[in-house]
Amino acid sequence: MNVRAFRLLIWNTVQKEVRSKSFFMAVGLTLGMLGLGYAVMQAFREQIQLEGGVEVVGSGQLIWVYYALVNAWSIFLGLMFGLGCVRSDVTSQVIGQLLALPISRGSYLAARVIGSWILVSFYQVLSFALMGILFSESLKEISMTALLVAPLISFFPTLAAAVLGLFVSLWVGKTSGMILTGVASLGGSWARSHFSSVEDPMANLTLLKVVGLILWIAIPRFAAPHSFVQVLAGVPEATIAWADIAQFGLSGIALFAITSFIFRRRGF
Amino acid sequence: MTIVQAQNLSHSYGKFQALDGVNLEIAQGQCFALLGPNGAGKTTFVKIMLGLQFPMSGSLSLFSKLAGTPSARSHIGYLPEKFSFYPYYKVKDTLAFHAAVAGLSKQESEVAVSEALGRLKIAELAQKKLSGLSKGQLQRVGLASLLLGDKQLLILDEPFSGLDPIGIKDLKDLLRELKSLGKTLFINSHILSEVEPLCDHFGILNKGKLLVAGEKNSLLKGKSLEDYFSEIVQ
Repeated sequence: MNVRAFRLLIWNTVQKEVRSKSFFMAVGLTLGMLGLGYAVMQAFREQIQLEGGVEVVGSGQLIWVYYALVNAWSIFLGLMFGLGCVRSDVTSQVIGQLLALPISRGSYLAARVIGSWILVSFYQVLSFALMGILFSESLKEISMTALLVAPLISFFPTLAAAVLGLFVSLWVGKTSGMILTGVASLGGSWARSHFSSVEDPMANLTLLKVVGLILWIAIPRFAAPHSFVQVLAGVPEATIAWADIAQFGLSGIALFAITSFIFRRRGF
Repeated sequence: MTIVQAQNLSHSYGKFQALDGVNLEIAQGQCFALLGPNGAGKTTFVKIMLGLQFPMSGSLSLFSKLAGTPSARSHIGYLPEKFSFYPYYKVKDTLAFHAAVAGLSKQESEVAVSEALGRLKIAELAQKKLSGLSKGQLQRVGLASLLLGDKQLLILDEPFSGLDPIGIKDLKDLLRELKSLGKTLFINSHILSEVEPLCDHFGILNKGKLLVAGEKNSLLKGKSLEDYFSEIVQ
């Protein structure tokens, strides 16, 4: 497949979402959600100040809470668009016509994932712009390197989320997929905290433990790349989580490879 | 030159045998009609040709390449029974997309799209969205997409379905013209009366088995296709 056709297919992914109501719904939800998040955080902070009379939570700390909120929301959007990017072609029966063209299934999947990623990146840019407005004073306390790197780092977890969404969409629809990935992510973080505290994770294997182990290995650790930002920003005791970053990268690549392998063998 | 070659091709959906050891050869320039009652396995055969399904045993090659690979599809044009693309796309953009995938540059695409629109008599629809077109108009857009790029094998699934009498006549004229240009046509249809004057070869598929396949006149021996079809299938 030529580069022009590949670009068109990526643009087509963006167009599909922009034309559907979900794009504008997500813009509204992003602004609403982050605005509400900010209001809740400010109210919480003021409440503490009223009760204690001292500023125990500074705006410098709140910005990290907000940063985590933006990233969590972006991952949610990544999953959502990843779940729908191929599924919508299947339900509208356009997929048969697209795959009958000289487009390889791998290129088709890659174009859909990149298109979804571009879309989520748009929401992220929007969210970071909002963050810049809301925390303009606190931003001065953070190093310029951290400020520049933080948004760039945030693009990687959303890419992994889009891939995870695409993987899940091979079997289930959007709503079930959101529930399933939510449960799987919770299971993955439970497994992470459990297995990191036990000496021999493979001892006394039960079915639940095996599922936990699989989730621990398979679900990309979305928060891992942010350890870079924390170190750059000089957060006390922050270290770069190399092992988790490696798991994040490898599991993301493996998920796309498995998705592509299954998709290439699927009939339509 | 053999364009389509199926060897002992079989496919099943669970216990249902959709194709059962089909052997078929179609040479360049032929107009071949695959006929059969509903559920005979025609669509499955087309899907395997396009790489949308994979055979469980046997093989199918197009242009001596394994069916389903992008290189085998690069010279194929496919018109499904109901052409559907993104409803918010304009006719011109839909064709430009197909032209790009067929490997045409932006300049080549503009010329080819405009020519295709003219040949299908739908130039006035160029700026219209697909959502605003009738089924017949959509089929014409699908047919126009077949004219973009260097397509040597045209696969048409129930092409006469949904077309009005003028549309049917225009389609027949276009197919005759394409045939005279040396294109190979593969028509999947159950409307025997429309296919008979157009095709020079045909095959009859029933319950997954290819009952007969060959040159029209040598098979029919003066009988009508309708009579011959009923005789073979019953």
